[in-house]
Amino acid sequence: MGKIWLPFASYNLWSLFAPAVGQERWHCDMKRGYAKVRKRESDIAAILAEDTVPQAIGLFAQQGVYEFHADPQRLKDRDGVAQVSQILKLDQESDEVRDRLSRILTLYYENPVLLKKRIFSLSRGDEGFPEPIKLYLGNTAFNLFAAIDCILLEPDGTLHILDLKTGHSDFDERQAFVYLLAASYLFPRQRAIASFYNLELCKWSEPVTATASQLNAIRIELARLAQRHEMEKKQYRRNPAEFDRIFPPNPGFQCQHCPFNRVCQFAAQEISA
Amino acid sequence: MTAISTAPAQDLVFLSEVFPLLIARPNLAGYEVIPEIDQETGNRLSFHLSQKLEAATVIWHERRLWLLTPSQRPRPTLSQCQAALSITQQDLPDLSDQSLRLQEDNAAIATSTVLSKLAFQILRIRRPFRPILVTAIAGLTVNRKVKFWAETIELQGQARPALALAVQTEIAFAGSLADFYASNPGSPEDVLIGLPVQDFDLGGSGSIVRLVGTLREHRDRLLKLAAGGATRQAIQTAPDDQFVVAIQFGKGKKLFHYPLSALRPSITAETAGQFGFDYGQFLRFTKIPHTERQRLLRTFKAQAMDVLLRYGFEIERSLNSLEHPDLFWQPAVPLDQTPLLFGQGVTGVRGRILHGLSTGGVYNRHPNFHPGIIRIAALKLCDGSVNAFLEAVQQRLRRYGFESEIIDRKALSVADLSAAEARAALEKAVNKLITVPVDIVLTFLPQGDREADGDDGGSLYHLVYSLLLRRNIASQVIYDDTLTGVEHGQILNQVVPGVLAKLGNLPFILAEPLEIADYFIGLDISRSPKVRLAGTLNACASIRLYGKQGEFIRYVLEDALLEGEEIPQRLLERLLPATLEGKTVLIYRDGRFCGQEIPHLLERARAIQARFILVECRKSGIPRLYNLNQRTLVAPLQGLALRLSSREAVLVTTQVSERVGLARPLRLTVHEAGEPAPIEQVVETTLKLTLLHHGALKAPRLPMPIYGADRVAGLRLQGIYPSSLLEGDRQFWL
Ligand code: SF4
Repeated sequence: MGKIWLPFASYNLWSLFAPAVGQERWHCDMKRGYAKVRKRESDIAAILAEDTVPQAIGLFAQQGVYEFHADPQRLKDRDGVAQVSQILKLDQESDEVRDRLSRILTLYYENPVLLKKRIFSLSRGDEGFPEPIKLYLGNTAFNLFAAIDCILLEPDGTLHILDLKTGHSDFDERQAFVYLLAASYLFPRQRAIASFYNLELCKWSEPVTATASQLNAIRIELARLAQRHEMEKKQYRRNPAEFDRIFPPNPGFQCQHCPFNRVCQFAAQEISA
Repeated sequence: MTAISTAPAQDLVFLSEVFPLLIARPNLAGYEVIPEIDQETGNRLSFHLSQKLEAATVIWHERRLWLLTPSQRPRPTLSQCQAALSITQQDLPDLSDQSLRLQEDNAAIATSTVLSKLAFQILRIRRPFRPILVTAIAGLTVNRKVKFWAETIELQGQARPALALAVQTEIAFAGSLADFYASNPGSPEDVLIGLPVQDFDLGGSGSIVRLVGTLREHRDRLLKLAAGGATRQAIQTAPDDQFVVAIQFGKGKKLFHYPLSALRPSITAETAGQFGFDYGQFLRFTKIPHTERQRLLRTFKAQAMDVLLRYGFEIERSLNSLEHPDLFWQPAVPLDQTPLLFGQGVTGVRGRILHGLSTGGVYNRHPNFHPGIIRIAALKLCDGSVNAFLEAVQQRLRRYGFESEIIDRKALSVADLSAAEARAALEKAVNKLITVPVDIVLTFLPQGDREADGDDGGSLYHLVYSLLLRRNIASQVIYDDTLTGVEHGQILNQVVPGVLAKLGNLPFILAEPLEIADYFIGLDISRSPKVRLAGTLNACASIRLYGKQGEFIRYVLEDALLEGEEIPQRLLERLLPATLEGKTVLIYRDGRFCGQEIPHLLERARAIQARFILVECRKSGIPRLYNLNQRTLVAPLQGLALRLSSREAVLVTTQVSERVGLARPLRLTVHEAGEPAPIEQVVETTLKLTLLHHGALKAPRLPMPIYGADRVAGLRLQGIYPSSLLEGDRQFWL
């Protein structure tokens, strides 16, 4: 018998419901509609299948770090960066991806920040969906998905959850909180902190810690999101014509960077200066 | 009628600021204008003609000019009027090339509206009222002035002309705008553009839109146009190099040109800062003691009588319950005895809300809290500890059946920061505080922020409110002084039901259903001009739906780029769902219905086979009501109403202590295009709907369906775009 299907939540879903604090202007609910309820339509599926450049770079970077640590000798070999590039088959990628990746790999090779740490787990990033964690609010349950890149063990026994980043966008602390919530279930007796490390800027974030109250607040939020998302899906299935009512568009500057602008009838035209 | 008593108790006498007019044989003539002109042109012409034809006063009403001549004087002949019209037209550039002709209309019958408008025009043009100086300090004068307007009133089934006289306080710059400009060096654009001003002649308020030039270039043209004496004199005597500026009055599109010395800066709570005045210093003078008010009303009435008598008008005693007992009502059951329904079927009364909440809990819990805890964050910007208070809040919530948790607390000191720095620091602190989402943020603000609203950039209160709103987080502000000065229990009485309601719970509803309709709707349409696209308006319609027992059901916000005034039909289709099919719906409009709103609403009603009772609820230009106690005015009772006609009434919804001022009533008008409804019942319904404010124990001035509507739509117009707030079941505007 298969598992009972449950509503789910994740950091990704949360960010589709609510932008990072301070980014409210750029938020558009319709993007969630495309990504979550119309993802099987062929033109939308095609958009979703195209790994966008930033996504591809993020994934390769994670894999690169993984390969360095899978065989730490590579961090010593003079051609370590070339070895990893070869494993990742970067020569098959676009110039842009290749160039940025070799910078990232070189930077990491020169300053392998995880080398002296005790790595508890490190994922390659392409393992597919992680095992869900079943959480409750009252008598309703939902699945929490949290794909953790890396867990370090601090000398005092604290678990340090690390998320590797590329690009220039700011860290969204909410992601750290979601990981800390996951950790509190996976390793209930362990103290945990979370941080981000940007592989392109070689910048480490301040560590994020969470109180029990904060984790509880996040759990409630995710439970409500999971429910809302279920409702939206049902509403949409019942009445697909209501798409723009269920997922109101917020056309504006952000449409230029929206992957769905090709199919979205609300996409704001580029405004010539 | 159940809850309205038509016979006031014997020992109470009610009084209003409405004075019926009597005119036995008006020396009156009516003219049609050929070809037909529009109302705005008619109004302008009549105003100018009233100045030209010293022997008569002229108004425009429903496609006719009406001339009233003093009783003892011969009426101007048709050719005299025609000549005056031609001269007037030459002075008005946009009318000078039309040939307008007057045609006597003997069959026309002057209605009471015509007569009351004439009386108003006489007072407007002949200006018998003199402001009474209260004090003068620091370049400002505080005056008592009269505000007056035309009313009609139905007495024993007959419409009668009437006049409303209301006393108000004006804080005025002692000199002219020219004086102000002379003492404020700087580029003329910087100093003048955007300034709120009044013209000396009529006291009309507007603001400066642009500089037109100097008097040297414009004097001759302006002299021709000038209607008022003071303006004319300013144009004649001001120096050549004085600036001429263009003024926009209200929302009108037309601009009017004035030299600086025909204007004066207009000082209000909002604008005082711009002129470097501390408005707070003057506030105490704006409160008019009842005895003074009574004396002033007598004085102003006598002044009005003086000029009106010449035209044959007599001013009767103001409407009062001794002579017209059937016009005044008060609720048969005292308002605080109104039965309310709480949770678990517990009924209580309005005067004992807290008791009802403690015994029954809230009438309805929001799904978010069933089960679930209320997540609270606290932000402290004032000195002193708030821990005990937070503890008390949690305890009180528990008493009403809600568990809560303080998720996070933050303290921020803004005492040494400039206003801009304080706002920046606050924004940062709030953003940090809400990274972990909470349901409500309790913000403890320093006392000083209460007064900061009018300051440039706004108060911390508004900043917190809008930052949280865009994240869909409810906000509750508590001021420092209440925290230290008032007992915690008392603050909690005010705060906790409001907190619960803002989170989507319904603390209580009316125990007995309202009879007049199945649903109640509040409709507000706010507009703001679109900067880029000339002539278009960005509008946001907010609509709120309430059930038969005043229970809040949901709201919808909808915005659109509109040309002109009307709400498009497709917007109504969304706002007024087909679930109202076959129902009677009372729609409250905040202000007047305008443009094509009524036809569109009626069309929607037909489409869904619903019956719409259309009620305008206005907040300005309303005569006050009083209670007379041993021949002295005292504050009116909450719930007191005056029937102006079968469609219109004035209603006192609030109880205000004399220290604060005097209750400002509402004017309720049942629009004749909608379903008819007895005005008594509309009054009773409205009154009951003011009792459902969950955020305060005191009743608000407006019935709940439109309470705060402007705030809801206004935020949206300011570009705050929480899309998750477009529709919802939480009363976040409380
Ligand atoms: S194109 Fe614009 S409106 Fe459409 S989904 Fe993307 S961001 Fe939203």
